[in-house]
Amino acid sequence: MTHGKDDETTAAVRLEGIKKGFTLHLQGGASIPVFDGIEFEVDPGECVVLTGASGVGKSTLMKLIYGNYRALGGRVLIDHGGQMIDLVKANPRTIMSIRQRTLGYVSQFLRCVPRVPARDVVAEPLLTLGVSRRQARERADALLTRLNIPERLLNLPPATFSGGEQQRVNIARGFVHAYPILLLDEPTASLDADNRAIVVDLMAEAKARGTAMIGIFHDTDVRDQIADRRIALETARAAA
Amino acid sequence: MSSSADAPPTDAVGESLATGTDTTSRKTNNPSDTNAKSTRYASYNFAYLDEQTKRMIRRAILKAVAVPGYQVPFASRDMPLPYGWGTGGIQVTAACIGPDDVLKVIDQGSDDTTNAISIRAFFQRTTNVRVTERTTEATIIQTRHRIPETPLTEGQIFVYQVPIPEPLRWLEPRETESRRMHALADYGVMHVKLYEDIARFGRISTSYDYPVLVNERYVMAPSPTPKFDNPKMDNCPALQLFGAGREKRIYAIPPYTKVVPRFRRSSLEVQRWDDVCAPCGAEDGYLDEVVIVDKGGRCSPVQTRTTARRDAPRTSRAGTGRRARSVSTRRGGRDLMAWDDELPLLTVDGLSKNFGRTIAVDDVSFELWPGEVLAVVGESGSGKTTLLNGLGAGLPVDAGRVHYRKRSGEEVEITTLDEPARRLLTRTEWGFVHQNPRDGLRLGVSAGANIGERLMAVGARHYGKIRGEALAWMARVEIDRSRIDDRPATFSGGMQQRLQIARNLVTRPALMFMDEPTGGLDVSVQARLLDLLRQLVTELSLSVIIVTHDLAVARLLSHRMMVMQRGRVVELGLTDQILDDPQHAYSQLLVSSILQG
Repeated sequence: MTHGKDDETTAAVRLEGIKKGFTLHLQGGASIPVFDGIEFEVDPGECVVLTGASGVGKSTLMKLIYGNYRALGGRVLIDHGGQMIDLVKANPRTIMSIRQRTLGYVSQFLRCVPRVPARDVVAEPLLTLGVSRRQARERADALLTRLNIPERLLNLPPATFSGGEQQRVNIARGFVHAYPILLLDEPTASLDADNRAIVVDLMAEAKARGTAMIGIFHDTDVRDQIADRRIALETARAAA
Repeated sequence: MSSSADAPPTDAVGESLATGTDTTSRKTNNPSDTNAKSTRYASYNFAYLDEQTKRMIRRAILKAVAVPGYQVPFASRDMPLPYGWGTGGIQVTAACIGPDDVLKVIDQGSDDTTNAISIRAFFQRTTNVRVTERTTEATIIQTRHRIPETPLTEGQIFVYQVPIPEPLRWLEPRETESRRMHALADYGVMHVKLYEDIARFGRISTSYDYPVLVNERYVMAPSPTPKFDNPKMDNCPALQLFGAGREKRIYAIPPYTKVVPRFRRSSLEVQRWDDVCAPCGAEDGYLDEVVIVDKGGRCSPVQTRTTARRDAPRTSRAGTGRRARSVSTRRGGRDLMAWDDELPLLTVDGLSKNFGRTIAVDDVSFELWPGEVLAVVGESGSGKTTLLNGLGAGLPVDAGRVHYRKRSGEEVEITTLDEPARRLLTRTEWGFVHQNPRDGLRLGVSAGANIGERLMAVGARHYGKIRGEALAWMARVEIDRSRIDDRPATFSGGMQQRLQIARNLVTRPALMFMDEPTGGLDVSVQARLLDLLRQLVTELSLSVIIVTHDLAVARLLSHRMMVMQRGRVVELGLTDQILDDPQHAYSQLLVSSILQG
């Protein structure tokens, strides 16, 4: 795969020669390489699934694309409102702006301010985009209801929810704004078949809207339904 | 005593100071005085005090006359009666009195109280001067509380006994800060006292020791003089001297000096309307300013009517609400790339601060944008609080520049900004939340006054609106509204901290400095505060610099994080980047030390 020319503007996400490792200063500066030379791109409306054995660095790569981990080398190019921006070099404010508008991320675990009701947790990304509180809540409620969160739970903080319910709140938070790019880190892991089907529907709708998706799914069912392409990470590492 | 060095500025002082200590040449013009008595007290110096002490007091008096209303410290002596019985007044009188003077002493408007009689007797015995009960005859009048109805004349000295000379005393506990406020004529806080009066009694109830403004410069406490006597101080032909023995202060009003009440009658008004409630005809309550379109006129909602003036009209939020809305619209309407065009709110460049040979903050630089929360983390002693104080609390720094962009768009340099301008900024556009709420609150006044202070300092004078804002903010920080008239000293630590935050946010600052705001709080209160802060950051586009030990707090609240070690910034970046992928050895240590909940 050779990409690098700026005239190829079709890709929503493009990774070029990504290198990542960790230096553990507390262990005498031990260095752990994770991968080197990862290259791929994802087009709008395409869903790419990362595969590979546990510990191979799938989540690490997701976090690199989200700008959470800092790459040691290479470029992570994100189409942010028509401009390809390199997350590795971008300043924090640009990354914040990208996350606010362009790049959504559904993590494995829900992390939120305690005591905040579920509907407000979900509505929050919209509020930072300037949507009115009432509208944001309405959209959050609709999405949570669709994900089978009972209405009586909407006003409760998610800390009291079951694992599956928390996961669905997390998914709702990722889908409440139509991000052009979505990163999904095992969103269906702790869901039953019915809810999994709903999430698959949500993802299919997002794809139809032109959302570029990168996901990790251990569930082969979901993977088969949603994946357009698979990228096996062990090969990437072996190539390095 | 060298008369050229201590040239008296007025005739009155001159007359009495130009005396020797030769007791033998004293006129024995008091018929009641006997030789037996004068020999009995002959071992005392004239007027009890030794000449060096008198000289020291006269110097203080001269300075006080030169700077009308300014409190001059002096080395108050032990007198043969307890503090609180007029020791300050006696020392001033003793320093001024000469053998030709005629003394009158009043206590609470009377010449016949124990205190008046004993002070008079004291001077009779130690000076042998003539005493009188007639104002017109007296050359020196010492008083407690009252000013005689008979007008004072040129050449007379009027000496007040003062228990508490500091008009700011009950509002500002720190003496250094009180003095700075006098120096800067920073008297906005005086309104807090008026607010308290109205909150408690429904009107300005201060009836004595009503603060006055002397010579259009210093606010002065006229001792416990009744308010109705205060006009007599204005443009008075006599020299007025004030002595506070226990507090060791002397101040003065020279003859013919302008003395006005610090507050006009309307300076904090409880507004009343002449018309009645349009729909129901009620006369006894506040009228809301919401215009009823189809009928015209104004309405008094039931809750405001029944609680009369204790509770506020709802109108109070209208003005500020509009402002908040326009802020959020602007934010919401920000287009995709506008981030890049926006200018930073605060630019810190090479800030350094040493304490002697200890380097507290070493070459710190960063930028802060509108609506951004920056967490400063690091071990104890790494310079976090020093940095915060250098930015937001006027701590002088040794090097570096701090540029702040005001709401008006004007850019100011904080480290060279003059103090009055800096104070105005801290009151209008900034907030500072201290780790210990007691440092950031006025514990002696009610919660309502604490919240209202900043509003009054920027010019709010409508009592109902101030109170309405206070109630609205108490609700926002989840303090029971019924506690509005309670003093924060009766609040729990968490409530105090929330009150401190409300007090800071009431003027909708653009920038907040927070030093461990959730430090001593239980976790439920902490969660409440975090939620509140996040909301405010989103809604008001508030920028925050928060110093914290708690990395979980930093993760939930902040956009960016700065890791400090030994005064230096070792890592600065997105909060989740630093917490999830720390690069520096110290950051890694810090993150690895988080307890897993």
